[in-house]
Amino acid sequence: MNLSSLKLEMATAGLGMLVLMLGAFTRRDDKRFLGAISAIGLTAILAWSVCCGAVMGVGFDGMWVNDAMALFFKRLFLIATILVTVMSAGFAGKIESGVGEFFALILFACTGMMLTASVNDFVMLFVSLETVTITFYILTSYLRRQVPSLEAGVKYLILGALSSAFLVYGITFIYGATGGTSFSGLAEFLKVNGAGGLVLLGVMLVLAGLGFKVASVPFHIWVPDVYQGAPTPVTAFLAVGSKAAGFALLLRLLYGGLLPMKATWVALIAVLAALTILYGNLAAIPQKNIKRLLGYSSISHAGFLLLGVAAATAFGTGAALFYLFAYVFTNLGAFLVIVCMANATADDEIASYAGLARRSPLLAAAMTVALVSLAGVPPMAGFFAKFLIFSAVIGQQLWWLAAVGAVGVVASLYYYLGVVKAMYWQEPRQEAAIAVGLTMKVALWFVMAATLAIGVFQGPVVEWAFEAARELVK
Amino acid sequence: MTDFPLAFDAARSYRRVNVSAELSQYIPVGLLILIAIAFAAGMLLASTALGQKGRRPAVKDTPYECGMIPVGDAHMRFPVKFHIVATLFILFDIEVVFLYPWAVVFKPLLKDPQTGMTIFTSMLTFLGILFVGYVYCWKKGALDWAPRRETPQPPA
Repeated sequence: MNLSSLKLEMATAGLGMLVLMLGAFTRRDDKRFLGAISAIGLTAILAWSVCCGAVMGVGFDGMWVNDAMALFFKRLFLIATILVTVMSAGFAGKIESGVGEFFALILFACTGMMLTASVNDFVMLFVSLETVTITFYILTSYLRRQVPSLEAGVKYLILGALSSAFLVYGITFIYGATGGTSFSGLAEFLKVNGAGGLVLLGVMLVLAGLGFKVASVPFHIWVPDVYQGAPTPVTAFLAVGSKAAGFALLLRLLYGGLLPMKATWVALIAVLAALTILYGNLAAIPQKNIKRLLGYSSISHAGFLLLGVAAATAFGTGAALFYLFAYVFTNLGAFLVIVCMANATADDEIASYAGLARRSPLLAAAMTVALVSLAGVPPMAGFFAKFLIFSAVIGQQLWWLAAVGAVGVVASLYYYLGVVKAMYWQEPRQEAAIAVGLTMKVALWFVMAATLAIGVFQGPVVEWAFEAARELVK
Repeated sequence: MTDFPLAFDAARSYRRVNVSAELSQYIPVGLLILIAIAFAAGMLLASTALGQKGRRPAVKDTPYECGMIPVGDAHMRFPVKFHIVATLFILFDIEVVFLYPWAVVFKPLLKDPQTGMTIFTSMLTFLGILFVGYVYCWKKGALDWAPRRETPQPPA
């Protein structure tokens, strides 16, 4: 049972190594076919996870859990990685060298993310998180002749290393207090001795480390610069995959090891969620660069996700999972448009989106669908996700938290619709039509359709997310 | 009060025996120090007695007569391949660090067929992944010290 429960991760890592070898051994200059191989391979793994590749249960002395939530996250990561791979194939023209390695690194990051979904032990937590983070250090600085990309890489490296240091330091305190690294051991310890002293310090340090990964206030400082400077597909992957991995770990830890101190962490997460929503949305308002804008918006979405976690019920957790699912399609839709635009206009300023509706109706429509869904306007996926989150929070009588969330939603409407206004009601700087490749067109249509479909026919996804949440929150 | 001097005497004699026994452990160390001093002095004496005198350029007094200059600016340019080789060395050195403890526990664990197969396949997987990395850096030319010669292109 042990090794077979790792089948999906082994397949993904194997695919990554295959792509790496193919990239090294083929003589073709155009390495974009590796993107096609990655996407097809990932789709096959996704199909395998649906039909028969998922082995449920606990393994490796309780370090590893494959349950409904783990499977939910793994499929989420696979879907996100497929879309990011397609996006990278559209972006590959901007990468000076090492296109093959770019795809391989994305696959390795995906493997790390899939590992985070099953973590049930602090050592596994650290190893899986570092697998994701170290690949992202390379990916963020991939355009190594461009200063912004290098700056993003250095900032991400330093702050990422700092957060890892927090995490490991916290784990040592927990190990010192409980004599082990398993989540269940920590839960036993907290049940007997209560939270206090060194173990509380350790838990807080670990939560701070995870706060960096999900980009919640006050651990958000790296986000705007890194999101702006990193290559666009990497920014998208950071915003969607890395954040979801952080949430997977957070949920595992809160409901695994920290369940006995639930009252404490509910208050903590509620305060963090409120601060994150306010900061992300208010700081996004004056932004001029679309990637920076989406960076701040991703901070605010981390806040909304934390709202669902702070509700601390199966309903709230299910709402957060649904939110993540909707967020993947919505956000990647926006980044697909940014990649197409950057190929045509060579910058990411919001000003160059003026009059986009005349230059490329498809891009303008896709961007509008994505932004409107991010803002939470019906009938998009983002609306129903926010609806679920708010009903979970109100169901727990957290009125002040719901009020803060409402303020955030109103503020976000302003800056999201500002971009829409520029695209439809402003004069373009130049009239030239923007050409979009066939792959990107298909991806754009798919993401638009998915964003709308999840919003209108929420049933199956809600069922799936809530089933996963019910198994976690007993 | 009668037993106090007795006990004191006993303790003193015990300590005297013990101290000399402890010190005798260090006789080889002392011998080594003496041999080292004698050897160094002998070398110096032999070189003054037998060596050529007169020619004494400044380079004779540097720590390394041939090799790198020990004092200077640390910000000097050197080829990036040193960095690549150093990185690869660390990577494959760590591989060996993992192999040693594995080799130590391998034989006793082999008696149980279940754990034996587990640790065998784990190490094989680990080496397999490293092998992929090795093939990759070999193919990419990271192990070539001299710049790789481009294969001549046939005229189009």
